[in-house]
Amino acid sequence: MKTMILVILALSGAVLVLFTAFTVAFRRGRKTAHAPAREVPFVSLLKPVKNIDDDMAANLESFYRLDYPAYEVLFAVDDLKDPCVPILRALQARHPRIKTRIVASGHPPFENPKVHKLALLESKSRGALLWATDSNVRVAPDSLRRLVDEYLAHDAKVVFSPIRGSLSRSFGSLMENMSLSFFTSGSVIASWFLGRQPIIVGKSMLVERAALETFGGFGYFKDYLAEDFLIGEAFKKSGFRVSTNCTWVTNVSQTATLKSFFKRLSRWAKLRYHLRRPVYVAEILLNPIVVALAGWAALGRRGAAVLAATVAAKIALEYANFLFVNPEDARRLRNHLLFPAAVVIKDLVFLAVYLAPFFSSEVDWRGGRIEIGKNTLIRIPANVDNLVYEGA
Amino acid sequence: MRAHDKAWIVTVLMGLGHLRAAHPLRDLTHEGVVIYGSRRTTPDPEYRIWRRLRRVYYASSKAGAIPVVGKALVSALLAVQHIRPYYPKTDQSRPTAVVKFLKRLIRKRGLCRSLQDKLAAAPYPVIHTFYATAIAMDALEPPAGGGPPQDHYLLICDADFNRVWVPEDPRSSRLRYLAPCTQVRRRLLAYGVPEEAILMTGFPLPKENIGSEEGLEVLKADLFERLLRLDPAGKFFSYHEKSVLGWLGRDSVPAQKERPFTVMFAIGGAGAQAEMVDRILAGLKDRIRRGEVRLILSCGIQRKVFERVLGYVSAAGLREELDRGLKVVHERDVQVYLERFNAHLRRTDVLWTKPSELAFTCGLGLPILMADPIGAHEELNKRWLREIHAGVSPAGPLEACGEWLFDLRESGRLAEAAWDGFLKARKLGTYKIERLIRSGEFEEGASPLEQ
Repeated sequence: MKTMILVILALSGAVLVLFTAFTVAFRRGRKTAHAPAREVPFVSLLKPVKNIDDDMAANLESFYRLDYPAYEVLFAVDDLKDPCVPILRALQARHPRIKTRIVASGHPPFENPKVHKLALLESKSRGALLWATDSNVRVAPDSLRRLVDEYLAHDAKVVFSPIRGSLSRSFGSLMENMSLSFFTSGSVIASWFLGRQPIIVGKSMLVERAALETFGGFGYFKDYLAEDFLIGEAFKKSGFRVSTNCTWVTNVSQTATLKSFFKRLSRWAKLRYHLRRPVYVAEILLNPIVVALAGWAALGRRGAAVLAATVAAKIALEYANFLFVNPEDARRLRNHLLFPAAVVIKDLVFLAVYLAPFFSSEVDWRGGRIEIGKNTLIRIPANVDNLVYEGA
Repeated sequence: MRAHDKAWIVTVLMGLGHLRAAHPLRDLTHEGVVIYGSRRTTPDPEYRIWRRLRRVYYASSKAGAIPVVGKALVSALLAVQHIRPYYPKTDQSRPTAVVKFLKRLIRKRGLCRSLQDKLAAAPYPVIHTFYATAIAMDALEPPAGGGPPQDHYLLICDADFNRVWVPEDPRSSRLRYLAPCTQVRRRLLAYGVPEEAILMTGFPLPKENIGSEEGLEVLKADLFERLLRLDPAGKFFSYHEKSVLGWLGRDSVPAQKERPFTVMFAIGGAGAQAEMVDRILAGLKDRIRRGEVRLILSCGIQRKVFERVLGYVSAAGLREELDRGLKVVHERDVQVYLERFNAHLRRTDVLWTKPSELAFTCGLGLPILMADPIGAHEELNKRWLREIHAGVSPAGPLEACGEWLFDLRESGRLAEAAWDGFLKARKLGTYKIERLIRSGEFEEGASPLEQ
């Protein structure tokens, strides 16, 4: 038993070292070989939006400062009374040279609301490439050019990005941003470079329109909540190249509370559980603090020492990621002081989150509750007349 | 038989076969086809039984593709589905172990109990396309205080079938049977079903592919064009011109010229034989690029099958041909899929499929290119297709289909199969069943245009 716990901790540590190494090594992205010289494709930026996110105006403004010659920006809101609409209108007025459209999509009761918006925006857009990003995402001026370079150089039909969580102001945000920069991006990069497995996080994905149309557009994924992951899987299985050059995008979270952090994590956990259950079950092994806590009794006198060493090692790994990947947050002394506590509390929250999918299939999303099934299929009430295979 | 303006159509999702039989009858329904055994229509304890049955069915459909143990698994499947030889004629009414197992599921595990409550909501006759729901409704006591008992019809979906489709004691049963072909009538009699309980309707085919019952306008027009495409050398017409012109009401055959024809490969609803696509594409890709043949790959409703097929298309370097010489048909919703499938059938000249319930589409004048059957009933569907000359076997390996498919066409054999299917298979099943429900009357019809 003792040996088994120590082996698990060692393996877990090895994986987390890889996460740290990959995120640090690729923190500035990977150089893309020069794309064949040809006219740059026109890109449509698709942004499904609802309510007001932290520092939303600045996030959206970053998409108007892109070092790219030919693009348009399209926003979809549920309705034009949404509180974010004045911000969108102000941006539109400030940047008359960049074509901007704001469309109302309505709120479908039994579809993935984000995909519903993306499908509508796709129909209104004219770009050969579609760049779908979330409204709480901020990007560097060269982001789009780098993504398009990857598309051109490797004929990649989907180009995805790792996510840097940044600009924390609250303790909840600090934990949320750490988790994005370390665990999420670590898995995204490691599984790509070690196993060529794309884990696409919908915060940013550049998609070729023609390839997407092979499936019938974004609408193909409307019945699922984890549309981003399934897009990667569908493209790869269908023989379309998926790639990344690690062009990071920044997820801005400033005012998250412990409750909102828990809700977001538990939503993601439920999605992962319904996508790949065996992999999800094994995920607990990547939480060494919880493993060491659980093994304390079995380890006897050395239990406390092992736990202390595990906590110290975990803090050290995450701290390295924090310093290199998230320099904006590293400028604030408060974040450094809170960091050790944030690592431990975050990992204990992860334990609670980890257990959530075993008891409930319902997720909270954009103000509604959605029940999901296999592959995150949205379960429809009995009185709605349609039948898809996984729903049977 | 009483007349009703509506009926319940009850089916299950076990592959697409039973759904495909139910779909053309949707005009009869008052609230859509009931897909029983799905999460939405079936309460939880019973839903789990259906889910398990479905998993076994889907796994067994694809068992043949498993290396090493695949053949043994298929043999075990064949043993369970075994259909006794019809000749020499014997009394086959004695219930088998599977019949008794089904009865136990109904009596002890409450299979289809909630269906009974649902059907009690409206006093319409019920048409079943799967045996278990029909036999359960026949076996269960009607709910207390209900009206007069409903009429239950069981539509047989193959050209021959296992004893499990008939209840333990068929003579005391109130079930009536809708038979797609003569062999089904014979087999029902052998299983002990009284003759008066058998109605020779034919398999229900989509009305949008037929036209009116009296005129068959759509079917005749599509078939005539198809025969021209399938007979570039004029060999078929040299034998059958008068017959074709007579039956299809045409004056003359236009001058023949080479034109591309369309082959549809239909993957089984459970995803069976999807791996064949890889080899078919290898055989046809040059001809597709040259525009000599169009290929429709019909993938059903499973996302994974669709994506796998797209993967084969990419690997064959044919992505540029999508929506030109190559079409991949897939829909997430089963009803939408069946509608699209039927629309593509009109443009299809050769239907390449395992001999499932799709064998009956030969009545639309479609030659069936028969892939390997899966299960005893498909073996017998294949035999039936051969007997009426509507089925053609591949003449060589799949990778060489670009050679033998064109040779079969050149020889007029495909056109002949299309013609024989049209003349010999029943095509008016949907209309016959609709009239049976709405007027209580049934007439089998004598000539090929009345059946």
